[in-house]
Amino acid sequence: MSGPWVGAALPVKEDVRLVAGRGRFIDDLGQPGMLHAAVLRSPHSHARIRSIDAGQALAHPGVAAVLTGADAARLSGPIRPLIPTTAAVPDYCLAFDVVRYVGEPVAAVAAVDRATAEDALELIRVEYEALPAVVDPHEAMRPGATLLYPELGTNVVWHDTLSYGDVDGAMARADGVLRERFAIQRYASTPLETFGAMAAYDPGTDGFEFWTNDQRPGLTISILAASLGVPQSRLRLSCPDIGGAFGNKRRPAYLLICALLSRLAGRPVKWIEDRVENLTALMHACNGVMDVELAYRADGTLLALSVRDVADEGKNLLTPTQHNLIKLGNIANGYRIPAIRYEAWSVLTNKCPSGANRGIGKPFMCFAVERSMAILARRLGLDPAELRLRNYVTAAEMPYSTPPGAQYDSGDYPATLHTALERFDYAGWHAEQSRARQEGRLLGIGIATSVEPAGTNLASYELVTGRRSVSGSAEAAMVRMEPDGNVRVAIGDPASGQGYETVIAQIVADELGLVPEAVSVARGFDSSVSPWLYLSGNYSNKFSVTDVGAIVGAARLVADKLRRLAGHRLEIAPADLDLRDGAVVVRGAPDRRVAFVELCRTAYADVLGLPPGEAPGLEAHHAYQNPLAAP
Amino acid sequence: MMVPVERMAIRLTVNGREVAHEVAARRSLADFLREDLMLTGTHVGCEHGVCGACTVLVDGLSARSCLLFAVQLDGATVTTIEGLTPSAGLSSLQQAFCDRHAMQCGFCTPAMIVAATELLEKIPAPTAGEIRDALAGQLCMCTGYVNIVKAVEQAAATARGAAGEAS
Repeated sequence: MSGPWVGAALPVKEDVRLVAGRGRFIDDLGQPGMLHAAVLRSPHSHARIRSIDAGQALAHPGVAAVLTGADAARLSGPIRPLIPTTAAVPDYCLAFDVVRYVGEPVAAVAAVDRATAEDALELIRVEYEALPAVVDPHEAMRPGATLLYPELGTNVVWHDTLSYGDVDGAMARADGVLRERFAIQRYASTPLETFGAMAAYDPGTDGFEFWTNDQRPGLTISILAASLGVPQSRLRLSCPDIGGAFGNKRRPAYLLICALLSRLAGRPVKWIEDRVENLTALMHACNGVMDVELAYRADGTLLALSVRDVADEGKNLLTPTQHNLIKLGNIANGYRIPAIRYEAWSVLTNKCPSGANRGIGKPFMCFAVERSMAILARRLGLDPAELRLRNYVTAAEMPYSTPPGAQYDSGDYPATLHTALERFDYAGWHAEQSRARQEGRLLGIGIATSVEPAGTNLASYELVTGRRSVSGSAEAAMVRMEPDGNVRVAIGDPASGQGYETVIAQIVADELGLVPEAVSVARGFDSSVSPWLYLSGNYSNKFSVTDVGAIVGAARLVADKLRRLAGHRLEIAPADLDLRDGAVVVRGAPDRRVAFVELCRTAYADVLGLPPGEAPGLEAHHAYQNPLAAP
Repeated sequence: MMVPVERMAIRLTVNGREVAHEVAARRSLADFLREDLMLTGTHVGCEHGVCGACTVLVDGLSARSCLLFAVQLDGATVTTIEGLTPSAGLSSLQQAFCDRHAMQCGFCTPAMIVAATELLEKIPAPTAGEIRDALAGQLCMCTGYVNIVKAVEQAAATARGAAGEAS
């Protein structure tokens, strides 16, 4: 239903608490008897742990528990990777026998306060035997290289060549082939709020409660339950306000550390990453090297693109290959390239784990393609804008599927670039550039364009594993009209600054004929309140293309029920009823109406007044799968 | 290893109230405010004096509460975001941050408002450059600062308008 609220510029609901310092972030939470954890980290990039003596630390006043890798291996199972490894590897929440990057957690202490916990870390004696470290992915790929996991027999997690169309034929027919090598450094997007977790073991139910600013609660719950050997039904995980996430707030190992410390100490345990830990060992974007071959006709028409991509995962056993797969999804950028080949290498090294850091490979993919276009334009003597315009997928070709299968549902790339050039005053700046050169000044004008995807399709992992275990893009939502006629909404996607509480209120207000003030959206996430899926979470720009479907679907189920209840009372077909101004109204006879609050009374209290066969309550759940994310 | 820990008694004024407390000598002002006084609007982002999320006013001047020990504040007057928030509604500066949506995740916002408060007391009609200069020590990782500068400009204009009406 279209209504007045979606698209209206409303004040952001969340802002009111945030400007007053009344946000509630993970470090603002506490529990009675809570302990504070600190983590001892590896000073070596690769070393065998010969021994750990934590006796003095445990005896230190104020210390309640100490956890080592051996304890973790005894008390929990390995962290389950998204890409199953070819052999079982001992990847626990703390390093077990071997450390594989500087900053890897080795031991953890829970104490009465953080300072005492850090004091105790200094009392833990670890004897290391340094091993040769491999930090360059090309070195790591070579036969005979130092191995992170000898049981895997290689550092290469994935190597494959994927071809779409006749790349070799196009290269042979082409007027020219551009060949370039590009490299990208490691980088990390660092939210101002660091990562954090709090866990409480409940011996009464043999369950765990977690609080965290983790942005993918659905996936995290499944990892925690598997590692702790506890059914998911005995875990509860909540996310408060999240102070930025940028993809790297997904580190279940730290939740497990808190959980195990809590079980040992019998008290809740909180750990807040400090900035040194964050900058040492948060999840990075992969560094890597791409060799690009771009076949073209003399007029600049692109014929084929071949990319050989080496991604340096660091010690990333949890989610390797995701940088490769997302690069493959974005490889064509906005261009019509009939034939594409992508050779992927996903390689482990003795560096900080890579992870879902903002963009996950897209920035490097975009850089490689756009830099290639810039070089090609110069080679052909074409304006770089003109070269792009000749190769863009046009509006008439939408919806468009790239050779590897990325779905572009709409867009007018040529018009967008024209608009950007106009607003920038492209011609004016070229004139300025000429003047500058005459004066001996250098002035550069660069163009880069990028297709930024919304939503994802995790079925791409099938390319790596050969079997489909996760797929699509989906989210779940709950809409409940409370007995007083106000509405509560919860979704499985915890916001990290996107203003969901405001936007969802606008959407639901339009669907139900209410004002946004009547709609309260649950802050963050709570697995015992929010509906959720394994795929639930705050990632891949998926709100507008996936979450909204779940919210609208749930709201429409409530709207339909309101119509049925009102139709029963007014003896009018529900199809002839509208929802408007907090009431169900007869279309064409606006004075015939039933206020929502009246219908709520029937739904929740006077349930004998319900239509035959109608269940009490005004609450609906809906899960939505984006249809573009097909197999 | 450091041997803990001498404790000291301090008296100070926080948000207009006298506070008497015994604290560990090594407790930072940020931890004291957040954990002992439950004033969690002061955020801790780096504990190195770099990010500015823990900025408070000490005797009217902005200071990094992560770089001060609570015991240094004996006798001082400290104002946090809670002290800058009216008991009902918002200050005109806070309202301007809402009107301009000068935030995304909001983690940096309370300290941003503390620093802007200090600026507007010193310079009632700052230029955009002066605003950027005054807020240079406050990192925001989400927004890119444009709306933050606009919000401070709006608050300054509102204050001048109110002053103009009053005179």
